[in-house]
Amino acid sequence: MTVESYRRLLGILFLWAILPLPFLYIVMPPFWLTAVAVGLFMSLRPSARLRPSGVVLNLIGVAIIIVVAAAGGIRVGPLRPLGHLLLLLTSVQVLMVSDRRSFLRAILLVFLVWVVAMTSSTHVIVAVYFAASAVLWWWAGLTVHLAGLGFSRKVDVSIPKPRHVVVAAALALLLSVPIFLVLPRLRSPWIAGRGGVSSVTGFTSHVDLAGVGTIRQSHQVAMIVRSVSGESIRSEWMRLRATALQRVTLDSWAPRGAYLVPENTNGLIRLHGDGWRLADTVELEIELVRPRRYLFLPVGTVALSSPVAVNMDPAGGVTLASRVSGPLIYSVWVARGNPPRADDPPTERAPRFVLDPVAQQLAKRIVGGVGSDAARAVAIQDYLRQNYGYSLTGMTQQRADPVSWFLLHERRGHCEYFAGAMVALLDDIGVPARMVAGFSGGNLSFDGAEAVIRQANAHTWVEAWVGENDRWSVFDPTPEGDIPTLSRPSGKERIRWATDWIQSAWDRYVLTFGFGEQVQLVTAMANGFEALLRRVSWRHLPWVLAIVAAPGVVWWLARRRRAPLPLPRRIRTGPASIAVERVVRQLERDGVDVPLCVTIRWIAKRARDLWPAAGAAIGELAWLAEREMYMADGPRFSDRATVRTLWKQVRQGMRQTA
Amino acid sequence: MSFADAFPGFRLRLTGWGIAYLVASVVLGLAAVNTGNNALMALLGLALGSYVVSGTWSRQVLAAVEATVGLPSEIYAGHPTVVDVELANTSGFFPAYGLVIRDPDGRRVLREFYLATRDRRRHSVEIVFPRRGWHEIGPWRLEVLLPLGFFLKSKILFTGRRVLVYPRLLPSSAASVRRGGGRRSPDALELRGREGEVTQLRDFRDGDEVRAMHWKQTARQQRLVVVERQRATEKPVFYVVDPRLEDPTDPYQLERFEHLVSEVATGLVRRLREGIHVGVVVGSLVVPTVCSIRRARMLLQPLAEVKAISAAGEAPPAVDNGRTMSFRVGEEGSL
Repeated sequence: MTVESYRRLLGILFLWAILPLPFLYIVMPPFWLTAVAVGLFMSLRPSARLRPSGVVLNLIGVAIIIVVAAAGGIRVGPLRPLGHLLLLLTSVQVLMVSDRRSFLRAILLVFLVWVVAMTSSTHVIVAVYFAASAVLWWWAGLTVHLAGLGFSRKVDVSIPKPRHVVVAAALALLLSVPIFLVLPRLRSPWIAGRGGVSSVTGFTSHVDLAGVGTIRQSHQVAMIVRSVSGESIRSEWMRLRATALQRVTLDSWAPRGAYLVPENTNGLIRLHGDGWRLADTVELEIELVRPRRYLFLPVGTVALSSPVAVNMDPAGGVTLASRVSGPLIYSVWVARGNPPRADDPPTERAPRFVLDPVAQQLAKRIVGGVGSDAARAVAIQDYLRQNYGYSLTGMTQQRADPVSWFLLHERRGHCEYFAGAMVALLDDIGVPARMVAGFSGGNLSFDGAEAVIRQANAHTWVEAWVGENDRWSVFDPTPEGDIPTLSRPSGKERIRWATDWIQSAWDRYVLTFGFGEQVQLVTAMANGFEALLRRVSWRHLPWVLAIVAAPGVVWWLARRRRAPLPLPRRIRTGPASIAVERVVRQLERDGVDVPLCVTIRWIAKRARDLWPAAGAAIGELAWLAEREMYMADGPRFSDRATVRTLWKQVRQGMRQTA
Repeated sequence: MSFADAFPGFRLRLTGWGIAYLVASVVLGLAAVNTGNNALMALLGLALGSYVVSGTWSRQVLAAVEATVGLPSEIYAGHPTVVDVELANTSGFFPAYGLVIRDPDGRRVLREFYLATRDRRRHSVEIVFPRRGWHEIGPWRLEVLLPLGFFLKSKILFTGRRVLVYPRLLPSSAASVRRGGGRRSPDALELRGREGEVTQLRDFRDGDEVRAMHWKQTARQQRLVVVERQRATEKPVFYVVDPRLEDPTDPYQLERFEHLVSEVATGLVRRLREGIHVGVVVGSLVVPTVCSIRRARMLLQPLAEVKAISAAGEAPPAVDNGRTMSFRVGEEGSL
């Protein structure tokens, strides 16, 4: 491998390493543009070499330090100036490559640049880049090592074979998956912060605004709602309530304990007494895909039938009394018309938190001149809907009071911010209020009798105690266009969901994969194994073992070397000699007088004269036959496959000559 | 098949590149665990996965590559000997890259750039043995460094094989072939004439000499007729090599003795190629005459194995049924 080849290879690798940098915020454009220029120069003009003197190199070093310091960026984090420094140093090192040793030194820096670029990317497309990088590094590694052994690519331009490199890289990637899954997730105390800043949408019973970052929409199915009578599902039934959350701190809400055991009459739990007739309700069947803690009940549910024992909390939330694995199907009866409302009294002992003074003034300004509590609640709801925007991004800042930050500064957020802000404002003006977590909307089937609710439909809203008559009334401060609704998805939406799903899966299972997920994985595997053991009876065990062992036995049989045959049974004439005898017979058939005692070379010469097209193959056969017959240390039989191939070539040559 | 059968004389050595890779992996692992960055975890997974794939690949290549070595029937000292080495990759899945075969001294004997699956390649390796006598070729080791060069794995490709190296053959100018040899020598001319009684006339057969034609009978009978004669009684020539030296430890005398053995071997080979009966007496060993080059081993082996002895040693025996030509260091006519 020449120096030019090394320089060109390094240029290509450098360009590949810096490929993600233009799409990241980590390195400023002048720096990655410099690196691109160096990479292109090395790739396109590998023969042009720069040999700066020691003085010039020192000046370049000083200049690099000045430029990096001038570019600053330390407030973004140490990675930016370090990235600038690394890029410039690598560029100089790459330019200075003049032999194999300097190439190996430079490639380590290029590898470091690649690591920085790779690990700073969070988009799912980086998975493709990662896989392609594996192939490229394997190819580079093989090429460089072959060159190190003194082999030149001039021998064979297609070495190493691309298919070998791709297969090796694919196997390495395949192996990296289990390694990735089992590597310990032990976060060092040196690293501050909460880890990943991305999250995905989904139901949560503990709302903590301080820890929420950028959110991706997850379209994982949460539950399926079916109408038992076949009646079309209405949108007012599709606000599915888990429970009401009580404000715990300035920025967090949590449910109350579920200690009430509901009265179960003939398998039916009446949530609002016996005053409601089932004839005036519609029965819905709900299939909860992964039951955790809560059963989700449509607003207006009067009765519930659950196959497993449940408890209730004071806020009307229904929880599972024990852990349930697998999908859970339960039935609910929802009132037609005016739905019943929760009537548990407001908690007197609820903690009171003092809102930011500016936010207090805002609350007073919103409800100024409004009389009843219900009207005040509506005023706050309308104010938030009209003056604040909906967003799933940009909430990475950690604040002591995220509600005030949302109300006074950011003015955009998702449903938890809207609901949290409304609860805080109502609290401040003395109206009891609580946040409600659950789901809203869903995707209707074509006949309208079934709705699929996804994690993206998770939603929070507000219940406010606006008087003895109205009790806990429902308010939703989230802008109407951003509340998940009941609809039929279009093709465009499905495509968007698919891309969102890929990105959210990448975020959920790769970027934010942690110790909790590892525990879940082990639990799921244990459950799966347990389920398998339950299904497989001991009667089938021999068959299972036989099926499992079969590939291993076949492999062992294939690998086992055959013992040499005992001497008397071995063929004493080698395959090449037999082939030469065939050539002799063919010569005789073609009219050549072959004496009884002739040498193999004589036969080969006559055969070559007669069939020039088969000359090379005949020569090879003759050589093999001589080896079989005249080797000093005994006969050595030729490989049958080789002789077969040669004989085919001889036949082909004979036909061509004919 | 046990490990020792698959990898005779297995050796494993971590390369400098392998050390760098290991250190980098450890640093990467520390960084990944410390930061909790899953991209670093994925990189670490890929690094370790590549490690496993590379190791498995090179191991399989080492197990699957076999070699057969073919030696020529005659090996002469100082003359390039072409050894035929055939490398075969018996694996159906793993191609072999960058194979290197080294001799026991660590010198590279040959290298193979790429050997596809189920493929075989032949190489010719030139070896020069400086001295006559018994030598050992090998054991040669097969080294596999690729695909990624973390470990240098090697195994014995073939165990050592003892070969007998015949004495050095001298060029015509250096060998005094006139003594008892040469085309014009009496014993050579003895076979060239048409001496001997006529035993029969017979039809010409392929391989008969033209000089044996009986032209009169051929013309008369209109078919080729040759004369078959009884061979004249031959007096074979014996080369007598006396290994006694005045001082067997003297390098100068030893060198002269070696040259003398080479000269005798040269004369023997030339005579045998001409079909002349030659025998040899080496020390106390008398080897009867042979006349075919194919049986030269009988004469050359004692010459290859002979060692100088002190002057008090046993003298070569006398040979009655032939003419003898003595060769001894220090005698007139020899070196």
